Amino acid sequence: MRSNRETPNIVIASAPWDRDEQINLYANPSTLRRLVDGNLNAKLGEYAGLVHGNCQEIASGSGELIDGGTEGLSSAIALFRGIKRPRLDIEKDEQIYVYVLNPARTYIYRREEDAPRRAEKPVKSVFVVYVELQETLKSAEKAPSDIEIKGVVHFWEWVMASGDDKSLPKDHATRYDERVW
Amino acid sequence: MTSLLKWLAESSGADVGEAQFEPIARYYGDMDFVLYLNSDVSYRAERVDVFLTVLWHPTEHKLVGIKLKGFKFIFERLKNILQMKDDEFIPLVKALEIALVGGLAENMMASIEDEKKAREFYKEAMDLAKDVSLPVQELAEAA
Repeated sequence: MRSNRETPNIVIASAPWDRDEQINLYANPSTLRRLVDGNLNAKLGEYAGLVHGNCQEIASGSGELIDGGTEGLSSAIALFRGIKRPRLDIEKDEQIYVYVLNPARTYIYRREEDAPRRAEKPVKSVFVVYVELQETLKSAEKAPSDIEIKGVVHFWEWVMASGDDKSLPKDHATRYDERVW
Repeated sequence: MTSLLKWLAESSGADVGEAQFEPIARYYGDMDFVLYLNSDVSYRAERVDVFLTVLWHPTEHKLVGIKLKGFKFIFERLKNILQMKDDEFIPLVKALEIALVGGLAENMMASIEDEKKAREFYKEAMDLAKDVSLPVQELAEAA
């Protein structure tokens, strides 16, 4: 099930506890603000085309605006829990979930255009999305009140793929606490 | 304002200006990392150690940025060493020096080859970020 185009900050994903159950997550407004303010347009294209997924896109060739995008976060092929790094708040790192996707392309965005465009995906890479569930969130900035929200999407990026399994991140066996599914 | 930008700005309350991309370091408080990019591209992230991730150009073998993770941890140590005030700037090179020591300590069982590789990555990261700094105030705002 795709995210709803009418709610650009709500992303649909498979639940950590049940892969067949779909849950609503919302995009961290602080992250989006930093990306918009900082003109990190590649990241905005990734959000629209790969994380949310249900977006229009500029067609290659004709330059027309067409329905496009991908299945977004609901197309994740694996889920890990817990990122290993030193923090003052170790409990929080344990509650970060990492969704892994293998999209066939990425999306780029130019501010003078209405929508992102497809682009060649980065070489030898997979796409990951960092999510925290609502129950461990200390704040829920601008969380919509009329939709049941289960968590927040904090960030997303392409990461180097494993040499052993090209569908998973490099060092996936050691850099995360556990594989959920 | 274009449709996508309006879409994203409305949902986040971002202030959409006309400015072009500039390579600056920004702190992302909810994930506790500093991201520095010198190009607006879909980078590939490669983890060096618990503190440092280097960011590669999507198709070329070229560093385009760094991600310094666990930045509150690094900043607390920097504050003590440099006696920083709230209106000052954190040189990323200094933060990388703290991270290098911390990263090597975390990976004491790593092979000599892995340690050498990590040091090389840190050197490249320091070269990339040699003139980059982050305002202390940005961490305070994210707290």
